[in-house]
Amino acid sequence: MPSISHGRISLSAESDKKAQITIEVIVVIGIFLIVFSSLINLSFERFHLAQEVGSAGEAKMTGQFIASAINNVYSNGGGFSIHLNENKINFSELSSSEIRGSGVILPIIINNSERRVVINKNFSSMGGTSLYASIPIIPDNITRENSTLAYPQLTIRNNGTDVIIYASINNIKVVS
Amino acid sequence: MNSRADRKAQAALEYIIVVGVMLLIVTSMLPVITKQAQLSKATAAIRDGATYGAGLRALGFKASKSNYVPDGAIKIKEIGMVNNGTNGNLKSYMSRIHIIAPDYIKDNSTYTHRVGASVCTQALRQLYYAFNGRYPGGGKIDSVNTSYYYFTCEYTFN
Repeated sequence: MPSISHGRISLSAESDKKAQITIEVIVVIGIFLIVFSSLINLSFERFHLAQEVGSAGEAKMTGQFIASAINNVYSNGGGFSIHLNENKINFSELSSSEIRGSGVILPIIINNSERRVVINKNFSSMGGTSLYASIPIIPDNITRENSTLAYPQLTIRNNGTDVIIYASINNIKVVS
Repeated sequence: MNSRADRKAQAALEYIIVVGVMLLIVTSMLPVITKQAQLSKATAAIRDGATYGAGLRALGFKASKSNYVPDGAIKIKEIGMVNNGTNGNLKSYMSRIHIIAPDYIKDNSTYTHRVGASVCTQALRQLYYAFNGRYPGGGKIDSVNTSYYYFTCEYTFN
């Protein structure tokens, strides 16, 4: 800013220096923000991808757990049964899309002819529909019945002829 | 005129000129920085998508219309960006994804094709999401355009 002193006009270099530093800082910060904002976006997406792979692993583990129980019951012969309680498999948590859940689409399918337990997981948050994972099992004579007092939900029993799963049809479905 | 005041005026003018030149340099660098930032962002997005696709295939997940591949440890070893010339006004880059898989997958050309296709599809889907804020519709995706670049994908097994 020019200043008038004793009738003379002088230009101050001090404020020019400050103006130069300010403009440089603004431009540098602007460039930094452009690069930094794209990196922040990427880190959030990376975190989301990692979460999805984690919940896919949980869904697969559930299928393996059921398949393992079926194989055990079959191998141990008639009269043997296993009860998988709610601590082992909680269907409402399994099907939930919240952070606690695994996003599994119920019912879980047990295919007798292909001898597989099929887990169908929802990937709509990733812009997809659903993906399937299948776990092989040994027997091909599995049937489903509704739970009773004697055989509560998720009891798997070998009656000598068939392997029976006691579960609601909304949770587990057996197809030929 | 007072020579002291003259000296001050000269210093101020110099500063103004230097500021102007600096602004010019920084402003002209901006497109270069933006282009490079876009390429870096694309590389990171492709890496994320490829790792995600490999992870899901390794767990045994596939689309209903996709075909079977046995479970196994499928990992991404390396991703290279290969200069592929131009595509219209856009500079074309092909991302070459090097995949590691067990022998029973790697030695079977049917399985390698299925795994490679899954990995490339997920890589390009993630790239599309990074620049458009949403995932593309269902189905295969072969390429992605950004404002400066055209990206495609291929895979190899090591």
